[in-house]
Amino acid sequence: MNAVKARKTGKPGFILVAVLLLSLLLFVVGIAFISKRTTQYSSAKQATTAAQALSLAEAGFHDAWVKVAKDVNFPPVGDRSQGIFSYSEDLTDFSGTVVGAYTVTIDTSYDTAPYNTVLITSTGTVGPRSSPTAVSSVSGEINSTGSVVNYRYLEGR
Amino acid sequence: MFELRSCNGRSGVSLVESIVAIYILTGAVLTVFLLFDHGLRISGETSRQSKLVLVAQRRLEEIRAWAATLSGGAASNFDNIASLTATGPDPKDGDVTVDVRAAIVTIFNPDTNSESGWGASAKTMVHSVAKVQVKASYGGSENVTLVSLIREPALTWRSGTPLTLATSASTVSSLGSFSNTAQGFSTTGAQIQDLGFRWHVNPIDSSGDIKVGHLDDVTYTNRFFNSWTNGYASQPGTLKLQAEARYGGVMQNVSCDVTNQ
Repeated sequence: MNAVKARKTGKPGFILVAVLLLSLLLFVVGIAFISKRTTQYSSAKQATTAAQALSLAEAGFHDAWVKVAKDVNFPPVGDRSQGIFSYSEDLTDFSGTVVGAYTVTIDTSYDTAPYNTVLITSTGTVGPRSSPTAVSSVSGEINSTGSVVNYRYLEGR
Repeated sequence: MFELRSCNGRSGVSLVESIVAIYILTGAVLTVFLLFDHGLRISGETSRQSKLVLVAQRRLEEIRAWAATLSGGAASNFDNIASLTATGPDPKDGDVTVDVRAAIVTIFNPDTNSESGWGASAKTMVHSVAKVQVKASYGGSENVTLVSLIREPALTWRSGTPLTLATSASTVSSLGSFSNTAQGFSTTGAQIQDLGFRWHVNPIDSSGDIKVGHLDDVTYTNRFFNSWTNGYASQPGTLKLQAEARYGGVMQNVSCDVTNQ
């Protein structure tokens, strides 16, 4: 319509300007679209490593849970008097490749009557320990009957 | 800029201007089309990636729940967890192939860093934790792999004699040694493996050297009822050796008497 008007009014080159503006608009829309999709894809990738970190954190929790449940000498006596015992393990897949690590902290400060509770916090990390690509943590309390209560997922990144 | 004029001298849209405009517009539309196409492919990959994560997490949780239940008899499913190793389509999302690998693995107690250097005498737990690996994929390189550990489900002590203590000798000579093995049992009658025992000798001032081997055995070097007047000199008497263990939060103990000649 503007082009027709331009022809009538005799302004040359208007259609070129209009086309350039339209092209710019389409380009911006396209870039915005792909930018949003790329962000979503990055989020999905991050969710994948976060899920791996969570499975590592849960591995650490189960590792510590079974030791507390079965071994009366765990955590070692020296550390029990300190109240906090911590250890880290790498976890490999079935091909022997390290997929990540978990760090477990066991707090026995309340492992006396009337509480008789051991607090376990496990943090799973994917990637190098110094600069992990994803971190996730879980925690729970083992009560006097050996059951886990207050099991919860802590904030990950 | 340039002023385009038609052949009859009137100003307006020339053929050149139209061709250039169409060329630019076509290029722009083509570029945007390619951008959208690429964006849609990324969107599809995002969707598939999210689905793979969900399928892998769901299968891992299902295995966790399955391993914690009894398989009808004395054993728990955990004991047969290696039977889960298989590859096949996911029952709920048939387009996703799930590859599961599972096996009971040995772990160090308290941790690898403390124990791995001790070789055969390292304190280990051989039947307490299973490693599970779940790989969800569409058959190609696009996949999500989760690896975790699942603990043995907790049972309860059997009533009556939850613990047994076997000793190699009931009578020991002075400065002699004897070995002892304590075991715990659950209500299913099965041995609770990897139990950690705390050992005591009574009277305490008669104790000799206790060397704990694996988690559930101990060697005791007898030096009880010593007289320090002229070095070690044993006297006849009875020693009580006690082992205690905790399982499911409940402490149990067992003891035996050993006579010193």
